[in-house]
Amino acid sequence: MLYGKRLAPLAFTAAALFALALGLIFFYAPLDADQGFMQKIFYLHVPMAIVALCGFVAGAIMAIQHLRTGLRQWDVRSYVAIHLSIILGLGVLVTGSIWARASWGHWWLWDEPMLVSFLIIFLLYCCYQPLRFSIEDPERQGRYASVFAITAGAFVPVNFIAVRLAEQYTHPRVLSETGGNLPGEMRLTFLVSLVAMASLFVTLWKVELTSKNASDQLRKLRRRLEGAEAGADDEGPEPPIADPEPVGAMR
Amino acid sequence: MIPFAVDVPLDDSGGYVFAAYSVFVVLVLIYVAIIGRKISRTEREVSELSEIAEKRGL
Repeated sequence: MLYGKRLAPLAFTAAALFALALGLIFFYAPLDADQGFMQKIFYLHVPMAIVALCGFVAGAIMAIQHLRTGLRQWDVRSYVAIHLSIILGLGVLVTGSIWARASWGHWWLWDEPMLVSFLIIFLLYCCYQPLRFSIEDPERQGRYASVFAITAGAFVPVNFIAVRLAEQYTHPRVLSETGGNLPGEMRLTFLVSLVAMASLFVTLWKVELTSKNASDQLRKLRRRLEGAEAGADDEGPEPPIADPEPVGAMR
Repeated sequence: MIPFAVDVPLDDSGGYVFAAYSVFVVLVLIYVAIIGRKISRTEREVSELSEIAEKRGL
């Protein structure tokens, strides 16, 4: 399985979309009548949150595929999607906190359903990696991680539903069935930012899969060479996914 | 005179916007740096394996 195919055009598209999004954010979208310039954080914070939550759900779907097919590649895809979503989730919390401070005068509000529910989801997924790497057996590691990913992934839509059902709307609603309250230029800018963030996610996902796949192939090759030296050609069992490095990257 | 210069306000809101976008850029850069380090390690291992294979005449 080659993950590096079409990586260059994808990366180029992501970069071009980001350049376009930044251009629209700072040169095209009008200033918000209420928040003024600080509302520009919205075009970064909200797409990042949506893509992070979609990444968690995508990780759950890939985990279902892993349990259904037993193919390790689905487990790796799920792992990378969740791992990237955790990084984006961290960005969402920090940028949201900055925006809250600028807009409301507080870094955090515990009675705000959107903030607290996102924090719960983020903390839930922070348990994913410790759970995963506490299991040495690769088969069990993949299986347990997939079950966790599916369970936690089912919890993600609750984030949206809980906020929609909540009475208190301190957090602004910008997307709704009636089209929300975004004017045309802002809506276009937001949609371009969302597509740019999604393409960045897919690009980084593919980059990490490619890197991981290359490492795995290399490990197999090394084992084969060592096996040839020892007169045996047995590849041995599939190795578990290695422990994460700082900021959650895998070897 | 830059025709498309951003009219960044000099009050706090400009600083907050800059901080938020900087956080995002830093996160992406750290991530890319870690992946880059992994790729260079893989590259090093490939050259090691190539040397081993050459010595064995493979």
